[in-house]
Amino acid sequence: MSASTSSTAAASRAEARAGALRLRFAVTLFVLAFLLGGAVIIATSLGPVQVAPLRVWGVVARELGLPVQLAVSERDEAVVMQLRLPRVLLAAVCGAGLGVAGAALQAVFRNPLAEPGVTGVSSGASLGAVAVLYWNLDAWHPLVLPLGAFAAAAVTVAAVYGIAAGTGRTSLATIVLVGLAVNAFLGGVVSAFVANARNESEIRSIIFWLQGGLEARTWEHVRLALGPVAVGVLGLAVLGRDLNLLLLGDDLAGAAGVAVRPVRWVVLGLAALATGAAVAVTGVISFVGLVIPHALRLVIGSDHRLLLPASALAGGAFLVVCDTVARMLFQPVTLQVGVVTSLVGGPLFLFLVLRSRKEFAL
Amino acid sequence: MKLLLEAAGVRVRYGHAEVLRGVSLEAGAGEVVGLVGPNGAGKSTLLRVVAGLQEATEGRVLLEGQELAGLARRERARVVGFVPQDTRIDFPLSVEQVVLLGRHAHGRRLSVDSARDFAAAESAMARVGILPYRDRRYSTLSGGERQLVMLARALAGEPRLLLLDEPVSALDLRHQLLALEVVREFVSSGGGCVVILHDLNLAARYCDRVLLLERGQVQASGRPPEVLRPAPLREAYRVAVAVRPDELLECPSVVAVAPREGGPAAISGSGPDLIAALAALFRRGCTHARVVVPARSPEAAAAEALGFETVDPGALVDRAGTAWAFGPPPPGLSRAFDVEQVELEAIDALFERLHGGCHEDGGSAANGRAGEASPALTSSISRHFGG
Repeated sequence: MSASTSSTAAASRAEARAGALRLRFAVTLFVLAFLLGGAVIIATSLGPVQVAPLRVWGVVARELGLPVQLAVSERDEAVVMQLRLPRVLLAAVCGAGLGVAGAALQAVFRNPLAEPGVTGVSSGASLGAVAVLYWNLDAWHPLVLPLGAFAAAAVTVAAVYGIAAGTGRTSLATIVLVGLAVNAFLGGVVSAFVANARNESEIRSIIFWLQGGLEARTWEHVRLALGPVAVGVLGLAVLGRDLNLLLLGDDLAGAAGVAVRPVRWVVLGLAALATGAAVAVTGVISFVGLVIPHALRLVIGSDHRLLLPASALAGGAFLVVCDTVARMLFQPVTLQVGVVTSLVGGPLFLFLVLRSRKEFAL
Repeated sequence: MKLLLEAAGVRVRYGHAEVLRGVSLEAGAGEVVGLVGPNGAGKSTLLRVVAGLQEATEGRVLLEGQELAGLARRERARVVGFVPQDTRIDFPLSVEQVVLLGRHAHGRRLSVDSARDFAAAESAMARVGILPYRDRRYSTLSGGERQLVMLARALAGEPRLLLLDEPVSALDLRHQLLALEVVREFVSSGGGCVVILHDLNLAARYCDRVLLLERGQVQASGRPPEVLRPAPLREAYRVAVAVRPDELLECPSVVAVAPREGGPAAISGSGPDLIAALAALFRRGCTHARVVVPARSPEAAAAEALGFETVDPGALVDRAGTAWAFGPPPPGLSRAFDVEQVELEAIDALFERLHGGCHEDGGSAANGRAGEASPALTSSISRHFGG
């Protein structure tokens, strides 16, 4: 009698805990999605020509074919659709890609300090972009720049993974060390290009690209980045359960039924894809992939079923906000978004680290 | 008894090194099988092979009668609960989250933990006694607490076979017993368990069968009293080992001392004096001694418990109660115990006999040395015993 009462009590407790978990997932994702949506609308409304957020919503709703009746002028539509929205959406897409890639790589390397650049993808993209700028190939067509950067990133990542796999040692440390060596080498090549640039404007455009920026980006860029980033985000989000187990080590994950090596290579590939697509269209934007997952972990924990989609949403929102700050805060001086992510991300990261030390005595 | 695990002729080779050389291991429902042996004997490798983490170069492993290699990963993971030595996690996961990860093989790819998962996790945490800190961060736990969490994680998966690699190495006295009681409870409800233990006394108490592994081979296997004997343990671990029946727990009790190299020495005596002298030899790290005592005498029992060989006096000399110890010099022994007389001729005769015998039984290094050392025996004995 008492046994059955206690077992029904245990069952209802389990039911409550399972329900609370679902609620926490749903609320977290809803709040972050809402923040991202809000950031996109507000960022689009801000600029030298102000467009009220409600009108931005009206334009977006009409474009999407939603049955929303809001008075929208032609000028609003032109500003939103031609000038602002591509740039803001590109920030959201790239931030999402960097955020989710960072979260996944930190899990797969079992190191909270891993960032998307460890695979050589950023330095590869840099070299491709700098080569395009140095030889003025982008005069031919503006999309040569992101495509060249993406191609170089893909080759670099393939080389890093290929060398690491070719050593026969499948340890993660090998990948990190090979990535380190390749990054250093490519950094040297990029510096050589910069030092030998033929004129000031060329140096300027190279430096601008290396700092990462979203100026003058168009729907073409959004279309270019959206596909690979979406594949990366969705593919990685599906692997949340496996990444949770990989945190416990290869043996435990393997014994628990995870296909350790295939999952690892898929994660490395998808993370490189998302990062490569983002870096190719924006230039090197540091810190998003490191700070966003780290900050989220301190707030929502390390369950990757939640952390991966949350990192995508928060990374997108963060980059949208940073880009808006870059555009607006020091007008007429505009800052590169990559500069702002470092300026905002650095102190934010420091704050979180100090706070977490106090709370958890890590 | 239903066989859960059958491994036969398992060989594992890394390059030139052969880590396992034809090992067979069985575990049935309702039994705890202990793997013991010195470091590097291949215990963990064997456990990894039967967990499906390491492919055997040769041999076959059956899990509930099915080829291990033919089982799908998740199917295998539902049968086997594996706990490796120490697991560190550098990410903020709570104890409950870690235990819930044990339910992985029961869920679908995109599913969130169900009420069923939470119930299994809670029951596992309650059994192991970690329910009070279910919300603590795993990374803030001590090594012993982490071991308990990992045991609970394995139990939460409701496996039929537990594979535990030193599950109690970091636990205090109370929790060692508690964890092994949990394991006994698990097998009494129909599960099976293979556990690597370094503490031979715990193996004696909690295992139904014990396998002694050394250099990739099974040196002995059977019930604890059959395996935990001085001779095989001394061979495997290269220490002086004494095994006595523990009346309190009704199982063998193992004591070891570090061995010391040294020349041969001889002592003599009888009754309690001889037993005390043998104990003193053992404490000083003597690994090999031939004790000349009547068979089935109390002295003979004491000598055998210490892993010393006994020789019936009728076969050699007519003096009962003389002991020869080949191994370390027992410094101060002549002062501690009254040595009356050493019969050099008898010792030489004994050496010859043993020298011939030690080739037959494969001969350990210490035996060989003792034989070679016989010309020097006189001086050694005269140094120690002033004879």
